[in-house]
Amino acid sequence: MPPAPPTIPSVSSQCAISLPAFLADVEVLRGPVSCALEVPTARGILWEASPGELTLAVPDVARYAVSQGRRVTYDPAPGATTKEIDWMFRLLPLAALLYQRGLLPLHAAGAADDSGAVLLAGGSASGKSTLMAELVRRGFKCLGDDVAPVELDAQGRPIVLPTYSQVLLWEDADRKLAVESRPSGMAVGPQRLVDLCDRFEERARPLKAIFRLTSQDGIAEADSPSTGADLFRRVTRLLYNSQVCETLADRARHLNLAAAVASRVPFHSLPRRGTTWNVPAIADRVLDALGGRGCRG
Amino acid sequence: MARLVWLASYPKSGNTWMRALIANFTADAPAPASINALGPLLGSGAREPFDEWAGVKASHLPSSLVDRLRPEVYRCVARSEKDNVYVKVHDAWRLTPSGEPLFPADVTHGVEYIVRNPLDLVASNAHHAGVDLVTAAEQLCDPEYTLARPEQGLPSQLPQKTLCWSGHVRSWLDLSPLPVHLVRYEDLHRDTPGTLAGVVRFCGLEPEPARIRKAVAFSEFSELSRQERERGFRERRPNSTAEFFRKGQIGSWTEELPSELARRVVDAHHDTMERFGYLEQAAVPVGP
Repeated sequence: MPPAPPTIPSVSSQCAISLPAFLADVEVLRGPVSCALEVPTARGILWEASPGELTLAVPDVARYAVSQGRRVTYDPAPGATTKEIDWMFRLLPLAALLYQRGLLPLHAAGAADDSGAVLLAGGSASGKSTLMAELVRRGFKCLGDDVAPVELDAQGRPIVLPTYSQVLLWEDADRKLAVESRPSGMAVGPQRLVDLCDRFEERARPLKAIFRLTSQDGIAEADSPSTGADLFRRVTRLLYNSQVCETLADRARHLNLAAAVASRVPFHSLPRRGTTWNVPAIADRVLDALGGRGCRG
Repeated sequence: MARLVWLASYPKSGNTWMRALIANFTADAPAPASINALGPLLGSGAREPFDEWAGVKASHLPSSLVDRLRPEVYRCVARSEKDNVYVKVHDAWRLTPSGEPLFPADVTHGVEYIVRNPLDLVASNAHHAGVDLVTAAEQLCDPEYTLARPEQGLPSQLPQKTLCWSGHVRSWLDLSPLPVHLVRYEDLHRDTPGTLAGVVRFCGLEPEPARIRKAVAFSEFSELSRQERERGFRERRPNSTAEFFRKGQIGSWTEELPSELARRVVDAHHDTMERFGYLEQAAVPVGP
């Protein structure tokens, strides 16, 4: 891809990107974005990264540049809607911003009640969002979908920061769960973006448990790993885009965070069987593991 | 930069057994490799490598664009590794919508293509997919057949076009410009050490006899089956009606396949079956 002209940031009166409250100090600019970094340390197909910098070009949506954890620049593609630009920001660009600011972005959906937060982690198609919506239906509140920012509080305990109230659900999941929500007017293929605004947790919550969903028939990992290294590996494999993490994360701080999560937060595996509708049963297992919090389905 | 070795086969043709053999050979460990951790092997339809190297989830992109980007994902994988990477493939060899080979030659070491008698594949695929024999036979004959189609919910893998059985075989052996080492499942069964030595040599490794013997022993059907019974197997499909490592035999179709379905398969795949010596074994009358 030939380099674009030098970036000349300009401020638009209508910003397509919305930021979570804890990122209120980040500057968002609309302007030309060159996706070719001067000296990229890592390069994917649509992204490049170097310490403190990430660029991403999403076809037919926008180009994004995330810089030093303090600035986001976006360059809309012709015909892209603000909803599409905002939604795509909430994935890799948001994760990059969090890495640059020293937080730990886990690939997880988050739900919380008065005693704390649970993270539902796993890859694409593992059912994180659907399970989170089911927990919300049973009395939990939504902390966010897909990218879960984790940091340590003043006492060194892992906490989860809230991001957005919108969640992407398959049409049948949206219908079957009957969660109180408002449609957001955006679709991603057969998935719909729904807004759980009335069930959104606005406060950071202490992280009480991580549940890792696997979408294949297998193997429930032992809930008692044999070594500290195993524990640590369990957390690091949940990081959002490990290729980007290598370049953007402050290694010492990142290791410290991951170690704190690994040593303090209970970890559970939830093998999920195929695409059959068994989310209520999985939610029951989550509640059982949490000691019966929330109401059973 | 590493090179990719494509372990290509129509589903249930012995790909997992081959991966176990290669994993046990390369590991050269004192105990058998876990079937749930067969080394740094990845599948061509795996979502995570695509999502990470593209930076945008495949589920958020049009399928035609996902297809166009897949060759670049494989290039990124090769660039990021030092040693050769073995990639399980059930896709047929084909071109992407932009006319580029899905499996790029510039990062390819070669292809280990495993072929198996399609008559034995019917029952095996039926159990694996949780469908009846008629459906499994029709899938084998369907030139448009695709694994992991998004029908209800998002499959854990990217869609993989297999074509029909003989279309799959011909795509890799006749259409692809890649160097191919052909392995008949039946030969692997009858002479595992000799066949594995040929595989290893093709992969650019030295087939030391002691390591070959150990790899064969650690990958025996009884061992793979035992591991599945004790710990499960992550690649067994949720709807499967049998263990993944079910029989591991040659010719079980004679007991499992009704003659009309055998005839259907032979009618559809006559020439390719004849090419690999499967027709003489079929002894099924062709035609009415």
